[in-house]
Amino acid sequence: MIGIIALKNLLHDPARFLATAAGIGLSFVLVTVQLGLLAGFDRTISAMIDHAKADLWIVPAGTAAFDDPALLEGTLRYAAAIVQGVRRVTPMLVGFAEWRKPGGGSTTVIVVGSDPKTGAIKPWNVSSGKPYDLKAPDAVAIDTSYTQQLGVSKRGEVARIEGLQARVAVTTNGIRSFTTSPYVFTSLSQARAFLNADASRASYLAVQLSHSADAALTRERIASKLPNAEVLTSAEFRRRNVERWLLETGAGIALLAGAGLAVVVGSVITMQSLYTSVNDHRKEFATLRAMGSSKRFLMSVVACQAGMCTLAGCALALIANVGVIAISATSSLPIQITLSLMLGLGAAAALMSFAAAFAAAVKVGRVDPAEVFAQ
Amino acid sequence: MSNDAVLEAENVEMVLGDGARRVQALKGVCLSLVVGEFALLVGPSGSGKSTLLSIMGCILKPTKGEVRVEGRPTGNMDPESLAQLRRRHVGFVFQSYNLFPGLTARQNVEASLAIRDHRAGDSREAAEKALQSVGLGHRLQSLPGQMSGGEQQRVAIARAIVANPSIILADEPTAALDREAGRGVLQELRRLAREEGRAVLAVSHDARAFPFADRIVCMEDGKILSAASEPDLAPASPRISRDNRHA
Repeated sequence: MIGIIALKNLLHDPARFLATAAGIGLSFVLVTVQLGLLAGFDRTISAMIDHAKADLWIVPAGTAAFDDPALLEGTLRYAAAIVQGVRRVTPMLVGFAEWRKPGGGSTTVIVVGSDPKTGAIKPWNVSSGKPYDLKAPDAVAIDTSYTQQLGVSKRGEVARIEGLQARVAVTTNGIRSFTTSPYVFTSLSQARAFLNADASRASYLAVQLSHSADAALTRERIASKLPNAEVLTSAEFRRRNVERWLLETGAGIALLAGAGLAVVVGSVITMQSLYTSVNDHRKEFATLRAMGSSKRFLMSVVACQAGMCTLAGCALALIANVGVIAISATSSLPIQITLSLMLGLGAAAALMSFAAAFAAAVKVGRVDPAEVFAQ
Repeated sequence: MSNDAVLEAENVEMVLGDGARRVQALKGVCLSLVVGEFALLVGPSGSGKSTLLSIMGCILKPTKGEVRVEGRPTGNMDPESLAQLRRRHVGFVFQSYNLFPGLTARQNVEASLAIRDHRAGDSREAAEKALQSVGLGHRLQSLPGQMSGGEQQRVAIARAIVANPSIILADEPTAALDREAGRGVLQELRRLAREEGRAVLAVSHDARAFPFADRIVCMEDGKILSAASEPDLAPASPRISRDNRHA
């Protein structure tokens, strides 16, 4: 009966119920979009690290982010390779370069060079060609989302990087850069040519450990041999990368503040909507109280009512979110809804519903049953 | 006080507001209600009728004095205990019915049992029975908005009696009804008292209600002025008794 009273209270005025659910739904869309942007941001700026086959990263001392590298001495690779527990050390070269479009004009790209066969990073989400095709001289991989910016759209088309020929051999889908410069994959040797780097130099050394290796100990051993470099785990490098962009740039801070604000605004809207919805039925609650209802019974109705409003709001938000996510998929900062985000939002929904129900229930618990005689 | 009294108010005083807005709503009121009696509480607006009804229904606590329900003093009870007392012994009928607009007639009556932790299956049967007893067996699935005022008030009466309380308190039960519907409601209240042995106390402004009552209690300025038995009353000039103590 508690559920029936709660449901009928809500359905008796469908417009008001819809307004409440819409208010809650809107707040959830707001929170989802902001947190999804944050998650998308996190994923986009860490995509290279996440897709690299590396247990440890040897990076130039003071490296702040993947996209902003210095160069390591080539000899470090060999010093690291002989450390006990190390299975493989592969160099990677990353750097900004000028891309000259075939039809005229230019743009800046981030060249990512790694051996197509043994290297730590290869293009993923390949839509045409094969990663191994990058073995060919002047071969590069581009993402289809940047075809307009790069002035090329399919395999075989030729542009120039720093004056050297760059032929599109591989295309990918959805490898986006947080900066305005697209990633261009190529072989390590071709990247050295494009970036005019010595044959022995690298931006990073990706270290793969043998299965039996003690990661912490191996890391210590490598670090002791490389005084001008840092040895980071993938998680550490990822965190440093995220912190660099998130906390040290205005865009990141704006995004973070936006997400925080969305949570606050969303919570307030949700609580206000639920509170108002319950308060609208004050007369009925006062009647129940006058009839002898216990506070527990009234609060159960309120909690049920709040739960139903939250569920309806979440359902509306889910529909809206599907649309928003689809629209953002092709943008430079796609909204990312991860399982943990969904679980977090579910928990937040339950918490906000509980808080709103509690506030409303306290008020309902204080309803003066004598109100029914004053009408 | 009578030994048969199921509801008693003894020297009840009630002060509302404070400072310049302080009003003494009740001044040493004594009233008792016995089994099978339909008493009518009448008087001008502001005379304290609804306040007295609220106090006797254990909704308001008096500033002074004592209310006893089936012999149990209520003065030291907390709000939850008073609510429990209302659940067990009192059924209310309100002036504007106070039905849940989204619930059907049967569900409105069932709600009264739900707050008393009755099982759903039993509640449904009992609710239907209560509605049939007030002549609304054909209106089980109707929403309040689909019923006339008289029918709604009869649903409210069914809601008040479904848990079988010994006391029925009604606040202006005919005020929102036309003559015929009001008459039906008053007949029903009288039947509950006479045939089912409940003690019924109703507040009313309506002189047409006088012939239905066993006793009429007149209030003015927070005091009971008089009481009279229905057979002694002519609607135009009710006989007035001066015995406040045994009103």
